[in-house]
Amino acid sequence: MSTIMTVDKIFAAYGKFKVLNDLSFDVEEGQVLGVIGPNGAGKTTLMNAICGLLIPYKGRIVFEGKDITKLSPDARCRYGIGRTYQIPKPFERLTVFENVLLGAAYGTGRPERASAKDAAEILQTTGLLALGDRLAGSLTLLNRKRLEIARALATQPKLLLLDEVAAGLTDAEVREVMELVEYLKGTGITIIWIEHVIKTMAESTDKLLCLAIGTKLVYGDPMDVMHSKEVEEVYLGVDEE
Amino acid sequence: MTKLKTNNVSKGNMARYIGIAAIVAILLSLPAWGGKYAVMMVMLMGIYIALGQMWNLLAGYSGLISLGQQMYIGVGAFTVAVTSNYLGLPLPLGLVCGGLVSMAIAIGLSYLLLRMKGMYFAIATWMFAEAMVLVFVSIQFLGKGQGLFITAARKLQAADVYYYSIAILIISTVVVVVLLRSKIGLGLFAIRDNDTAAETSGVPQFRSKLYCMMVSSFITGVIGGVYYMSQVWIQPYAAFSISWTVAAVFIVVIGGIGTITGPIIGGVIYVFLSQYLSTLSQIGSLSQVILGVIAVAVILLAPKGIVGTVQNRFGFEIISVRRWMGKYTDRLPEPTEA
Repeated sequence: MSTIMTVDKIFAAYGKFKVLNDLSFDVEEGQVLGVIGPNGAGKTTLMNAICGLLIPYKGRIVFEGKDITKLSPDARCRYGIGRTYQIPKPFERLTVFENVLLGAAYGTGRPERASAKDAAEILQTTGLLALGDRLAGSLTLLNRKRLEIARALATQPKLLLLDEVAAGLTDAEVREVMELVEYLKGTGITIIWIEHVIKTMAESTDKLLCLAIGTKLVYGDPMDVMHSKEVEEVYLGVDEE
Repeated sequence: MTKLKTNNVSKGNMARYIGIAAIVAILLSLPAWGGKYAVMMVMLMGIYIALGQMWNLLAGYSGLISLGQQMYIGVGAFTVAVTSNYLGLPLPLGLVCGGLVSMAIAIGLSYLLLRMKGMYFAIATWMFAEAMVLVFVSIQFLGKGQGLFITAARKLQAADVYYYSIAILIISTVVVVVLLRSKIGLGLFAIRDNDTAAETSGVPQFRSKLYCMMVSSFITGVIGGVYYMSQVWIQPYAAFSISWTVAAVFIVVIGGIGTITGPIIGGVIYVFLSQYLSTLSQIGSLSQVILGVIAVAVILLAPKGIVGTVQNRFGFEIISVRRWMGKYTDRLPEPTEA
């Protein structure tokens, strides 16, 4: 397996509020990397830095051998970095089909017409086909989450960033989304997957990265990370004896 | 929740095209059989509908709420005057020049304006328009505060300006439809609904908005030229007045923001109302107050405007820029699981 992306000593801040501090890790091609950490650890900020919404003030991000640290989000998307949002951001006044068509046309740089069939196929795999001509603003949360994945998938990503796909869903709905994630894993797309609730995803990741106060706390095999002393401490607090 | 009409669009297409063709035929032949007043009214409607289409392109489809459309009206009008008075260019060429100068200004300003969003963009466009009038009234060969006559426009018949107005009406509507049905249009819709998600889905935000501003400024500049050809005299404070944008907002809001037919209905209503009200009342500004009250009433009772409300009720669009899925799903394999 080769390295698809290297995050090299990045520092990122919102104004004066420093969120990422000297964070480094590699992502292997085809791997599912889980990212966990308590509230405020910098998980979503890391996503923003990778997809280009926030430019790190120090450090480098190298994707497929290319330094993308300062590229715009749309250029990164065309290079093959797709993302979903924790709170779904559908194009509400467009139909579900148009949402996915947009990703398929712009994310790959193809003409609209040439992307339409792909868009319809992705709607089918994500279980949204029957809702294709509905306005995206009328969807339920579960279907909005599906649409996030569908739109990102339509951009034909090599690296897919999943930001808390399970958050806010009922247990039954979480199982439905997990089926979709299992499908994504089968396609061989490299995935970075954030989740606040560890148990949702721990079993299905190849590696787990635990962040705390914007830096790497533990990295390794999921079971080792989950049972490490550091993770127990940040999630449960220090046991005072 | 709205279930939109999906297929069998082609069935209604024939009737739609015949209807549009009939309207165009009536418009083109009007000066031959219509009265002078009717020709003037329709001429004004053409101008105001086109103005509305261009504001709607920015605000209704791209989320760029401009309060500075009067800048392009004034620049377009003065360009026609300068090119025909000083350079001796024919008026149609002057109109194109007016569009190009407006577009050049929009491109220049875009690097500042497109860094702003929402209200900031709105205020900045207004500010630039106000700054522009101060520049124009300080230049000697633009007639300072007195303005300029478009000398060549004195020889024009009412019917001549009428045809310019109809041309700009048709061109502006067709350009909006073509632009919105293109890939750029899809990108603009996405930016309007959620600019962050649009960017991370591959839409180049700056470039898409710039195209939109270029089209809008060019055509609005031409509109300014056509209108002041009918007036002959350009008074700078009137040409650069915010009331141009107020009219555009009124037209689009009562007609239906984000629809193609909205500005058409809105423009017709606006011209009728403003003509009728200005003859009705002795106090000139009373008509403005009444227009304001009507706009507020529409916003409260039917926020989607006349066309938007009718479309929602009947699930039907006269001119649609939607991409329906129907024709692509026929070729898909049957789903493997229920």
